[in-house]
Formats: sequence, structure tokens, C-alpha cells
Amino acid sequence: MEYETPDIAQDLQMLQELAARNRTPQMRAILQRVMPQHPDHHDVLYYSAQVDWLEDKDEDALATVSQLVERYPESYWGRMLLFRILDGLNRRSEAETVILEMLREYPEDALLYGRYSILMLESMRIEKAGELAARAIAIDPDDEIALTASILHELLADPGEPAKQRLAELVSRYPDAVSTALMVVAVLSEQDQNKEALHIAQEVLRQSPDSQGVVDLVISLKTANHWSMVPLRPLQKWGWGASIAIWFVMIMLLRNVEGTPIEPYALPIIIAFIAYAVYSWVWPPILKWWMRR
Amino acid sequence: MVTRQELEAALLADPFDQALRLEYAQLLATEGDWNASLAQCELMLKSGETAAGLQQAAHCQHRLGRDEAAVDLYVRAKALGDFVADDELEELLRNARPANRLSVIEGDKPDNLVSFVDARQDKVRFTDVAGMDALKKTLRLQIIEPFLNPGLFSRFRKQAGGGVLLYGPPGCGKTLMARAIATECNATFMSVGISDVLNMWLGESERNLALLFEQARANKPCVMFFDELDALAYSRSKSNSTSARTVVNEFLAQLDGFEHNNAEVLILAATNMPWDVDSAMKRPGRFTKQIFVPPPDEEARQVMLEMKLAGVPVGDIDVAAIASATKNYSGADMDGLIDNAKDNALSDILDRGTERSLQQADFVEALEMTNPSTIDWLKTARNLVKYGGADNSYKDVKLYLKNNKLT
Amino acid sequence: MTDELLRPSLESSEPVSILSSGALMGAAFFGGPIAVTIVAVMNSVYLGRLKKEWPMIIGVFAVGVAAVYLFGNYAFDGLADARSFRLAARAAGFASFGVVWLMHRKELRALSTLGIEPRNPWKPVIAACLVAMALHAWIVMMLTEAMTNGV
Repeated sequence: MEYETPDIAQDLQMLQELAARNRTPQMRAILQRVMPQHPDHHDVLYYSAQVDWLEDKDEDALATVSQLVERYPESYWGRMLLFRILDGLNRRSEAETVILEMLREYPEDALLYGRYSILMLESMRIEKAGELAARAIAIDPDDEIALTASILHELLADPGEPAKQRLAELVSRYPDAVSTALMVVAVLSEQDQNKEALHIAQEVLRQSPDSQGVVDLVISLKTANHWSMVPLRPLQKWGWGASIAIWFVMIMLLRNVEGTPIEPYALPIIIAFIAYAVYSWVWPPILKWWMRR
Repeated sequence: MVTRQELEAALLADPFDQALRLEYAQLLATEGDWNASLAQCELMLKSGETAAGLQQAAHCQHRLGRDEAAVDLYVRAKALGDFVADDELEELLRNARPANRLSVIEGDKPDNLVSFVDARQDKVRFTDVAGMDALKKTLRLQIIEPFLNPGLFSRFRKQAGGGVLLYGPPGCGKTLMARAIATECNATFMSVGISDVLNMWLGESERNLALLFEQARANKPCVMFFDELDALAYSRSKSNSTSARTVVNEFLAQLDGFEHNNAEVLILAATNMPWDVDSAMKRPGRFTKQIFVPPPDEEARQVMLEMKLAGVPVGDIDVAAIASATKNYSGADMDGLIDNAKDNALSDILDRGTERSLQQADFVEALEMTNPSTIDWLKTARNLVKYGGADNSYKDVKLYLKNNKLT
Repeated sequence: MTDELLRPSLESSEPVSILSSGALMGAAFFGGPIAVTIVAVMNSVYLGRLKKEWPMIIGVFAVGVAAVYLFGNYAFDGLADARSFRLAARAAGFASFGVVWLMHRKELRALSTLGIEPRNPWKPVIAACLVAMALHAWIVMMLTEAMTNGV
């Protein structure tokens, strides 16, 4: 499909509109025409990298954005895109180098702190991630990425009131964003409200059925909410504590069963306990596999 | 009145005073020294763009006969906060803008014809669309007959009108169906693509959209067809762009205003990605009817093969078997298959040096090289249907997937 | 504070992950506090925090082993009963699990919340349990001998 625009400003405007709508084939059509005429133009290089990134061609995107950053080392959005691509490629130490360089130039940028915090979370540097998220919120309490990083950190540190409060702030500022919905799902799951979490996750899936991450999330939640998982509810709700408590009760019961009315039932009780333990280990992955079929 | 010398001296003392430099550039312009004025503007813009600086530079370019550059600078100025409109440059902009022309777009071929196609002269009818009888029946009952006989349907308390959204995998004939619907409805056909709405000038996209709806109302009976609705009405929750949101808002306002306005305009839309369409578009009063256009059925594929092989030297080919082996192939995939088969035959002919007709074996070989392009779409649809929760919007897709053992 | 925050933390791009809480629980059940200690050390190394956490881990080990002895002696008719020893070891294992889980709870939660793939548990946990079982067997043998000799 051809978009005949007279000059570069209009082409760039169209590229921006198309990028906002994720129209990568149309973006490619414009870039194919514009690139030979303006091979070193900042925005042309940026959109060229972005279109590869949107289509998950990370290596190609990296090559182009590296060219952009080499040509325009001060480019904020070029370096931000480079950071995102390196993170996506799991080249995290290089991504960290990029974001640190940007933070030294823009020490009051909440978005940068937020992104760095999320990078630290992905790299299991939880304490540092928390400090970075706190810094991001202090600079700009309304920044979406800062709020997201903060919620994620709170979920890991203490999945209770602090996470809920931050979530309330995110929802009030960005009520219809897909990322907000995913944060709501994360908080609800942590608080064992799996039914509500599933409902919201399914709404997200209806908007993004091509996202494997969202599909996997819905499958996990459907598994957790399945009727055959009802016997495992105590384990879902109280985690390993429940497992240990059940084990302890069984042991105490069996060690003191001699001479009591339940002595004849000791063997069936042991079998039931072992069956329950095996069921709790074996059934959830089987159910998940079956759901995915 | 400050003199040129005074300004030059002041600039020597403080070369980074941009207000001073702008004043100097304007003075040079009043003296007719446009090149010098432009040079000053370019120096100024290197330190940072301001609307006044860009406008001054635009004036200089215009006076130097470089209208394209002038327009580019003026457009950039318009995007800035401190912009104040300039009559001369506005006039230049109006004259430079491409005409707000609608194009009839078929697949990849932009065709800058007259704005409207009179469907009464357009040859595409339902009979021209191979197979797909079940779909044609649905379209006739849900779209065409209510449009042609609104009285009959209202006597049965059946609501006619509203928008209709055709969705399905790419290359399966949604646009063709839309044209056939227009012909069957005996109405003018107005096809709107994303390029007709999204305008390079900021803030004009909504105006374009409103204009299009007005033109449709002025040309009743009219079938208004929005191709790639997912691009035009992209989900606001997925987009960061303010302009994307305002276009959707305008679209919704026009659709809401529509049902009060007239019953002789049918709004059709097509999309490959119904999940990307803003959910508000699918609510009552807007695109209430969503009709799945599946890949062509076996009968349609057989007819396609027969049509496309007409005039081609063919041997003993089992068209029915080929049609049976091409499940889930789109129209474009069938074209690809036939092309590959022809390539195989031609390659053999050139190798052997003797001419022969197209054979079954060419198709068998081509089938190994061709895969249906609809599979990715169907996999995504499967995710939607299987995991998306109790929602009847995609029940047709669910049925198709079940019947074709794709669940 | 700001300078510390802007210091690089990632030496390489090797993905950082740890053994999951399931692996830790498996070690606790089959290997008691000794296996838990081994798994805790592994996770500490993966997180680059062994220098900071080793006192805590040694404490877990010491208390765990002591608890086995105490449990065995006072709760399960003495350590001469191998079954009692196993139960005691398991109980102490669970207690150790609790302490180690608290120590690494954020990272363990991160595995599920952020979808980080945990490390493959089979080899490390089996190895830890085998070492623990060998040590348990030696402890039981030593204690039985001591009891027999009336020490």
C-alpha cells in the first residue's frame, strides 16, 4: 500500500502514526522509499530499527539502532530503544551500561530509573531494584514505568497493602492501559484471588491473543482455578507452610495411633496421604499440559 | 528603531541570545536579504527550534522559491507550543497540500480514480465470488435484505442498520465481499483506507473522517467501506498516541451520530485483526454485527482453480483432489500454488527442451513448497476462542475451528 | 546513595537464576538441614551474596544439626531409632527451609512473579541429598556407637 507524501516531514509524521498503531508493513513501505534518500536521518534510522523490533527481529533492530547511536550519540530515544533491544536479547550487562550512561546525563529522569529498576528485578538484584524504584517514584510519582517497577518490587518484598496502594495509583492514572491490567493480575494472583485474576487476564487476552506471554498467563490461572485443583486449595493458599503443617499432623497422628479407634485405618490414611502428596506434585503440570493441547 | 549595526554589535557581545538573533533575521528580511536572513535562522535553529524561528526560516525559503522546504518548516512550527498562524504561510500550506481525494483500494493496488465507484456499474456480484454459499446467505440475511427492505425487517421487530465488521485471515476476500455487498445493495461504494484518514498535517485526521461521513450521507444510498479498521480504530488501551485516540473518539462520535441521521448508508468494515479494534467500536449502535469471513471452502477452491487454469495448457489434473489438499488456503495462497506449479512445469520444459502441459505432479510438488498463510491467524484465533473466556463474539470462528479440527 | 545506585551491578550478561523453593523443599524433605544448607550455599553463590550470607547459613546448619540431635533424643525415643532420626532430620530440615526461604524470599518470589526460569534442580538437589544422607548415616553410626559404649 502506497502512501504518497511529498516530503520527509510528512513521511515521518506518517511513520509516527503507523508506529502508534503497530502497522509494520506500511511502515516498511514508507521506509523502503525514504531510506535511500535519507540514509543518515535520525528519525528514519530510528523508525527503521523500531519496525524490526516491533516484528521481533531483534538482531536486525540492534544493527540499525547501533548505527543510529553511533551517528547520534546524544539521541535519547535512540539509546532508549537500544536499551530495550539489548534487554530483550538478554544482553543485560550491555543494557545496564547504556542506561547508566543515560542516567548520568539525565539524573532526574523517572522513566530511566524505572527501566533500570525493572532490569535489576530481571537480574535478581531485588534490593537495588527497590532503591531505584523508590528514587523513580520520588522524582515523578505519576510515571507509569516508575509505578510499575514499584509495584513489582512491592510484590516481591511484601505482597500486601503496599503493593495494593501502588496499584491503586497506577489504575487511577492509567486505567485502560494493558500494562495496568497485567499488574492488577499479578497483584491479585499474589493475594490468591485467582478467579478475579483470571477474569482480567482473559480480558487482556481478548485484546492480545497473539501474545504468548498472555496466553501462558491465562493457562496458569485457568489451571489454578480448575475444579480438580480444589483439594489442593490449602497448598495454593498457604504454600509450603501448608505442606509442612499437613506432614506434621500426619506424623503426629500416625505415631500416636496405637490403641486408638483409628488404628485399623492407619494404612489407608498413610496411602491417602501419599496419594495426596503425589497428586499435588503430579496433577498440576499434567492439567496445564492438557489445557494447552 | 534598532539599526542593523546595533544588532550586529549586540550579537557579537552575546551570540547566544536567540531573541536578538531572530530580530536580526527579521531585519535582514525586511531589507530583502533573504539568504542572510535564512543563514541567521539556521544558526538559531541549531540551538533549539522555536515556532517563530521556524516561521521566519519558512518565509525565507518561500521568498527564495523553495516552497517545499518552506512548507516543511511551517509544519514543524505548527507542532510547537508557541505557534501563531501566519496568513501567507497558511495560504502556501493550503496550496501545497495534496487534494483530499478518496482512493478505491484493492489489495495492494492503490488506484487514484474518482472518489466514488458506482457499484451499479461495478461488475462484482455474489455470483462472481466462488463458493462460500453459507457466508453469502448470512450476508444476504444480515446485511443486504435489511438494507433493501427495511420495512419488512422492522415489521418483524428486527433491527436493521448499524455497522458490519467483516473479519478473518488475510487474503480471503473480505474486500471482494464488501464490493459484492455494495453491488447487491445497488448502492454507491465508498472505500476508505488508512491513508485517506491519517493526514500528515496534525489535527486533520479527525476532520478528514468527519468529511468522509458527510460525503457518504450526501451520496445515498451508499456503502461506506473501511478497510483495515484495526489501523483506523486501533485499541486506545494499546496505543500511546494521542492522535490515535482522538481519531477513535471522532469515529465513535460519527457512528453514534449516524444512526440518527440516515438509514440509507451502510457502514462496512474489514479487518485481519479484530482484537486490535477498539472494543467501544463493537458496542451497540456501532459495529454490532461481526461476520467471520473464513478461508475459501473446498468448492470455492475448486472453482478458483478452474477459473485460474482457464486458457493454460493443462493435462489430466484432478482439480477436486487439489482443492481437497489445500485446506485453509486463502485466495492468495491458491494463486501462489498455481504459480509454483507453473514454475515447476516451465522449469521442466526448459530442462527437457520439449513443451508439455501442466500436470498433476507439478501441483503435488508445488503443494510441498506452499503452506497456507492463514495458519498463524487461525492459531491466534484459537487462543482467543479457547482461552479468552465466555464471549460469543467469535462463535463463528469457534465453529470453523471445530469443524476443521483446529481446536 | 545516588553514586551507589549508578554503579554497574552486572558483570556479565549470563542470566541470573537460582534454585526454586520446590528444590529447597525437596532438599529439606529428603536431606534434612544439611541438604538445605548446601542448596542455600548454591543460591547464595548464584546471587553473589555468599560473603554477606555465610554466617547465617552456618547458623542454619549448626542449629539444624543440633535440632536433629535434640529432636531425636527428646521427641523420638532417642537417636538409636533410625526412623526417629529420619523424622527428626526432616522436621529440622523443614525448620531450616523456613529460615532459608525467609532469607531468599524476594528472589524465590521473583521466579514465579517475573517468570524467571529457575535453575534445573535435579543434579544439585540429588547431590545435596546424597551428601546429607551420607553424613546422616555417619552421625547415626557415631551416636549409636557412643550410646553403646555408654558415653
